[in-house]
Amino acid sequence: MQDKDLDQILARAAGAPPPQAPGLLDRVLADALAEQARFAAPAPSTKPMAPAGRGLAAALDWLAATLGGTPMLAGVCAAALVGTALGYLEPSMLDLLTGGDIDTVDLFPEVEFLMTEG
Amino acid sequence: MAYDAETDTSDEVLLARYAKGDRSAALALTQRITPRVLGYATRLLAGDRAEAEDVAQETMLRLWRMAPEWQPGSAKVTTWAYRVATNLCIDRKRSGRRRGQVALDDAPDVADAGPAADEALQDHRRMQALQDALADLPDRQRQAVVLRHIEGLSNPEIAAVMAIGIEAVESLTGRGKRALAARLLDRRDALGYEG
Repeated sequence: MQDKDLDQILARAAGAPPPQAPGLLDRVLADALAEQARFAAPAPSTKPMAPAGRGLAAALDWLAATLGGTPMLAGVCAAALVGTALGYLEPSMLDLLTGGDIDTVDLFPEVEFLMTEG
Repeated sequence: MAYDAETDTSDEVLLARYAKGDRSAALALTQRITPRVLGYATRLLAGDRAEAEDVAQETMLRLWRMAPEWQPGSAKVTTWAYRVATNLCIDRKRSGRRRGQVALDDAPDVADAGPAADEALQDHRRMQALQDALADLPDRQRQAVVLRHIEGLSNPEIAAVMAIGIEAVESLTGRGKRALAARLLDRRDALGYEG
């Protein structure tokens, strides 16, 4: 074998058509478009924007947007009012709501057992 | 799949367009670079086509991911791709997976009969002998020979791909080619050569 023969083989290999791989090209293109979509579209912000203006109305608008809308804001406010009222009411007044007496349940009638060993 | 319609546009310009959301640039780069990387990886992986396809897909995926940060003028896209593919092939050879496997479907077709068939068969034998001889070379020599004499890169480009100096490239290609000739010498009669 002479140098020109090796050069001929190498030239033949260099001139050979590129390998056919239609499935591979499809996969590579799919990767390309998926990556392109990922970095072309900015990630959606999960944090609502701060209130654009000043004042109670702007703050309420921002709060409503944060909670998911005006109905959600109204629901949260109502729940807060009811919870506060229940906390301040005398227990006897709750009877008016529940229609009965309050039963007291003593979960620990005696605490000495906590002090014992064994 | 359609032929690359962006033949007058450089890879670097296409990559910049891809980074800005141009889908046609993605298609053109896919068709232009993937077959070259696949051919190169196939030779480096001793003909293991399935492994070479994995390397080509991974190389291209890394290209897509770094496209937004690509610095114009920093390197040629193909040089970068060859370098990534080289490293991936080295990793896979080290891991020792699936070496030397060639799927039957990947074997080149050989014509049935007649003078043209004889010529095609001889050509096929020579390409297979070249592949076998390349597989016997040390990794660095094989990379240098394939990049220089089959992929057609210049010595400075090979130096960039292999992260070595130009003199080292010349040494590797010279020694690699001599070793290649020595390995093919034993099969010269079967390959239709004299002397």
